[in-house]
Amino acid sequence: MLSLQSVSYSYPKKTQVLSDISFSIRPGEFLVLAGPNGSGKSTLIKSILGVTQAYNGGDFVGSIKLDDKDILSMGLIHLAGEIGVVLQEPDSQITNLTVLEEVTFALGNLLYPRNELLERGLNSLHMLNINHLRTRSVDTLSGGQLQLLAIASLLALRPKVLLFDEPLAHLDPHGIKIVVKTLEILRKYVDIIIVASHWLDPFMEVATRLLVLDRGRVELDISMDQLKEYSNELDKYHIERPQLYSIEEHVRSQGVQLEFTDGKLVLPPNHCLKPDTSNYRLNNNYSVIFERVSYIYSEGNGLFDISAGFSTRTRYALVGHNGSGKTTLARLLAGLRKPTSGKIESKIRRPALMLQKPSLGFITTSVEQELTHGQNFESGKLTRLLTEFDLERYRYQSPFELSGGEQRRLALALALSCNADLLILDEPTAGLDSLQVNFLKDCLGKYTETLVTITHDYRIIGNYIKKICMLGAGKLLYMGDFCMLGRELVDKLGLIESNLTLRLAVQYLNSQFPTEPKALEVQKCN
Amino acid sequence: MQLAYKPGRKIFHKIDPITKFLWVLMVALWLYGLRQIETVALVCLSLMFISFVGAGLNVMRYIRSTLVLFVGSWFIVLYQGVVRNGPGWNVLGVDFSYDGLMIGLAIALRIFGLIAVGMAYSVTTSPQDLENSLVRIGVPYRISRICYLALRLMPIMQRDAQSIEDVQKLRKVKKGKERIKTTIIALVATELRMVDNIAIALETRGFGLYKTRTELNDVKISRTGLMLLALTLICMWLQHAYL
Repeated sequence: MLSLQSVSYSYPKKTQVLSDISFSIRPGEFLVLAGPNGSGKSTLIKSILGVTQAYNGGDFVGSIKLDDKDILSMGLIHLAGEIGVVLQEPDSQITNLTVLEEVTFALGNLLYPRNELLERGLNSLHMLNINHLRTRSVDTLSGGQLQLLAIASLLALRPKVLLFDEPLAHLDPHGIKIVVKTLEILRKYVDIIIVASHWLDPFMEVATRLLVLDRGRVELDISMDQLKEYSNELDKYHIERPQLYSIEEHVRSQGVQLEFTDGKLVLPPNHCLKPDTSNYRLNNNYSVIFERVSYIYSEGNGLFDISAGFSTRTRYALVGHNGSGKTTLARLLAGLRKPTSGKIESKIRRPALMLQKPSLGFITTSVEQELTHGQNFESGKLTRLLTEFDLERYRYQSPFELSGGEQRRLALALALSCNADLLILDEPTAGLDSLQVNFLKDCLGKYTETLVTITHDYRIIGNYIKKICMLGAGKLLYMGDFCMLGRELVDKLGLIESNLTLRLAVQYLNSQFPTEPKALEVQKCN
Repeated sequence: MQLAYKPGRKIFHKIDPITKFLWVLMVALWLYGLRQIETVALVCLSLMFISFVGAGLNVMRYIRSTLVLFVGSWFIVLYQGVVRNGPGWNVLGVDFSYDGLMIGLAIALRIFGLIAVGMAYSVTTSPQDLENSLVRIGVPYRISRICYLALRLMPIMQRDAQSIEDVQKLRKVKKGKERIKTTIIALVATELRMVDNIAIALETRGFGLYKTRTELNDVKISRTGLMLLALTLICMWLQHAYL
């Protein structure tokens, strides 16, 4: 059993992050730790590992015990094999170059004999159905596969407790799908699983308990069975209500009886499959036109034969698997790359780019300098900008010292203030709660030029961004209205079953009602 | 990335990293000790041939990656020709000595020979084998892991550096000193955020708990490696005796 008793923690600058947290978790439990950004989820995960004070300084009070062992006095390294953690960014937790080395790494550190190293490592890959990856270099793995590898390397030690800190934040829908499936498998092998996440949908079927944190306090501690009756309370803590409930409410309000099978809903096939890529030439109101554009890297991958038009003052979502060519297309749009063949007609004069790691784009030593670099601001505009993006108190601070959320706000302020006629955002909502996503939507709402967002976030695709550009293996699979996107394409990309399934269902239902209410046939996935 | 490890089945792939490392050291010392230009040229060309064939190096890639050095080596040759005394030629009022030019040529040839040998080593030795061999020769595994980890982080940093370059172009950051400075700051500040995560990943996997660790692959001295060492020693003796 894992038990926390009166745990409180404050950072060196006396900011209280955790306040008097007490709870216990029994073997067999799968706990989802939910809460808005800054509620203390990640700090609590680090506290359970016993590293908050060691890594960040500050004051820690309380006790954390695994069975009868005091975690804090043992030190993390002595807990290897008992507690493991999978972090948000897949890249930073893989420390080896090949899959086999990674999966046997922990066993080697704990001096397991060589023959057992290989046996347990391979067994661990087998348990997660990723045996086929064993000879691969980690550089060739997708984000989802890297997360599975991180889990497999910990699983080889047979830990009692596995912690996950926003494990889905940086994954595409396919990655989300494979990690969630793996969590189901893990329940057989690990006593206690704790997942910190602001998003509940993926864990609806596997989790047994929900604990909501807000401002460092436990505000709600319920079993997942009780979630439906407490779902209204989630809004209070800026946690998105599971979409399953929203759909059900929507359908019921239309007087239609809808049943979910195993909590899953699939659209009838061939709903509508006609893309509108052919008529872009007819529309003169474009910003960029791609005419049979290819961009091929020395390895042979890249973009192939893309013909498409990006209209002015339109919002596009750029979707597709990792490696499908999204980043390359975005760079071509911004004029940062020249095509290997084909032609790009562009009216863009001032493109702006916001990266997934915003700090990579900073070039000065204070927030103020960052915003004013290369710009002639009228007096008062800077202050208005700082106030609007809640950055006034950091005005003279280095942008590199800001938290992840603050850096993202600064990067957005920067992109929006430079009068760009094309704004490209790379996964701008990764890891953000609903409050922050709404803030982002509000800010972008004032931007009227062409917007291209690399994203898979169901919270902005479909309702906020209506045009979709879908890539697969370097080819354009679909370009057009989101509501026209057919199931087969989504299915082909493996997007179905995760977030988009439900959003598609809502779109479908919206298109069906209220003209002709009828019962929707529900099929079981797979 | 010309020096990156490429898996394969060439002779050098079959040689263990320790013997291979000893061979590189041996030929480096051999080249250093050679004086006569004809001998240097013969040995260097032989070593290049052995490296190209034994490690499957691509000749064109080798030429491309040493192109800058090729231009630079002309300066070495001319510099030695100017600073050394002796009979030679006068070109545009500058005296070039024959001996000096030959010494310069020998230095340049040594460099190209060593580069070929070094490339043969690096493209046929996996980072894991390199780490293991460092441990075998007495380097603590905590230190050898730093080299290994650097190789792991290299592609991530390369990707991030490309993103920085793209944003800086759009933000019209001036080329030269300013761009170099801002790139380094942004890269270091961003990658430093990974440090905590790497430390947690290493600790939860028990790294550093014991003085030793079990390696996945044991480094065994290979017969092919011993044969290469023996052959090289014979060649060294022959050269010393007859050339």
